[in-house]
Amino acid sequence: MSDTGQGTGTAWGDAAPRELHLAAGLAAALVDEASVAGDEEVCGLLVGRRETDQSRVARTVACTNAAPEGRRQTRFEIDPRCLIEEERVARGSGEEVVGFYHSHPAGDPIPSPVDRTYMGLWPGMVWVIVGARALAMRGRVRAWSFDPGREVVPREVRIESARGESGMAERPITRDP
Amino acid sequence: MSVTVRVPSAMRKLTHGRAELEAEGATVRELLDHLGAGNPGLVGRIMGDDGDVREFLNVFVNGADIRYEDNLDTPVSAGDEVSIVPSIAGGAAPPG
Ligand SMILES: [Zn+2]
Repeated sequence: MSDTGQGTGTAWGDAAPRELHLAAGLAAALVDEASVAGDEEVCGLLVGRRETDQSRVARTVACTNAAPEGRRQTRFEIDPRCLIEEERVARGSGEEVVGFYHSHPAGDPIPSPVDRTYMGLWPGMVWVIVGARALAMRGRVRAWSFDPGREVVPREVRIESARGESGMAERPITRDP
Repeated sequence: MSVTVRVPSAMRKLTHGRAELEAEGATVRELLDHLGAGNPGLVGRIMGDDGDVREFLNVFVNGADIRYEDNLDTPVSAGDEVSIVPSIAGGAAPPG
């Protein structure tokens, strides 16, 4: 990777909030979306509210994986127009794009070296990765962010049930093939 | 009359917290020159030392990627919207 401009990295961004709050239904929908896409990576936006200690996701927006055909098994690219359009929709609503998601169809939800490089371009954003293997939501949907000066660090994902209970969901995912 | 330049939250430390800036100019390059005086860090993140847009940075004018227009010489006029968007990508394989 050349010329990512990360030489100035520590000075130009804030850290992302420590926690990501995600309704159980949204988490399940992300897992479904990843499963339906088979061996190709899916990707999109997390839209919600950013508070001091937490980002709250109100909705997710799927974006086309703009990576070249034949490479989407190990590669994703979000078309910047997907972000530009969603920011237009959210403008003035109090909501904003607080992060991005993508899937690892054949791997764990841990950022690859290439993922980490791009995360460095987006300090303050939470990156959710949906992995392939774990049976429980807790291990399947994980969040990370680039902490200026500290590199990529995990963020706690709080999966909230419809009743408003907060906690780490442990229920098995039943829709896996 | 000026052109609106939108900056993502990830870059707002370089704009004194502002999400959008107003700039004067007839091309994207002129806008950036105009912005550079007050926001040198921002322009340094957009353009490399070679004077071109950085590899992992995208500039859109009214939704059109300037790489497919005239790059930094892409014309702009009053009321246009310019968006600065770092690349959002990843993957297990190196980018091609
Ligand atoms: Zn990845």
